[in-house]
Amino acid sequence: MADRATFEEDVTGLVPQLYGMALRLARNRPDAEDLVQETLLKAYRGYHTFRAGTNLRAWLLRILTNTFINEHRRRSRRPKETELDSSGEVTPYRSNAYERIRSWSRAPEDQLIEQIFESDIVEAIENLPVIYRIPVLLADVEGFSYKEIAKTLDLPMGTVMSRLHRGRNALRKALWEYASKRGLTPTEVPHV
Amino acid sequence: MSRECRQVITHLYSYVDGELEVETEHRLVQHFEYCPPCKNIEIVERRVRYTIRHHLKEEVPEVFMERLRGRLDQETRRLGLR
Repeated sequence: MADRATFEEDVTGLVPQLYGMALRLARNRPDAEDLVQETLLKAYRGYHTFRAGTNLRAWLLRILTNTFINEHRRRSRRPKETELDSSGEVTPYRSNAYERIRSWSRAPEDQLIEQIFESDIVEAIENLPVIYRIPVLLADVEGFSYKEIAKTLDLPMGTVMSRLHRGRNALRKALWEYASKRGLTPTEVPHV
Repeated sequence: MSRECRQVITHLYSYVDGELEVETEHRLVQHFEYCPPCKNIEIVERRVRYTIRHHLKEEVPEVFMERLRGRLDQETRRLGLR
């Protein structure tokens, strides 16, 4: 057991990341804050089991995702989450929607892509079923490798890769659909 | 979209993740050099990730940080530590 001051010093800088992850999992602030608090209390009690020199962020995120999966989901009164339908298996980058971007004669500008995709990111992510949402967040937000995700979630690599793939497909498809509804998807490369 | 383009797009996530085997990665690098449509999609994928990452940044409310410190104090006392 580490002393209080050491523990606080080590984890304080990582709280924002835990908080962001918790919000996307719990989907509301009170539950997210409970989740972060529970995570840190567990980490505090078990800090002697953390091997110094290994990745503290990964260790904390592992506790957080496990806590969420084990407790918060059971408590949640939402209807049971289902798997993605088979459309998640097809990459949206081969669809007509993205065919437009392929056909642009000039490389798309960063600012333009951001404009297109920033609408409703939170909603699009939170709509992903949990089993896909967690690997997508770990990969796309936390920058975890497939191996790290497999370790964090205690899943075989193949499962991680397929969930990640389907989750990402569904997310990118949803982002494009939101953008289309808002009229943000240009058909031609815009003149700057 | 050619057959090669379709294969490239299939590997796109792993490519951007840096998780491809060297040979496959090399094939994609070359493909992007001579295929502007696929290059466009690669740019989009990288930017989508950037956008997601930056859009999800959250400020932690100071009230919550204080609550956390309070709970840790409590736990420290409960465990009979300093």
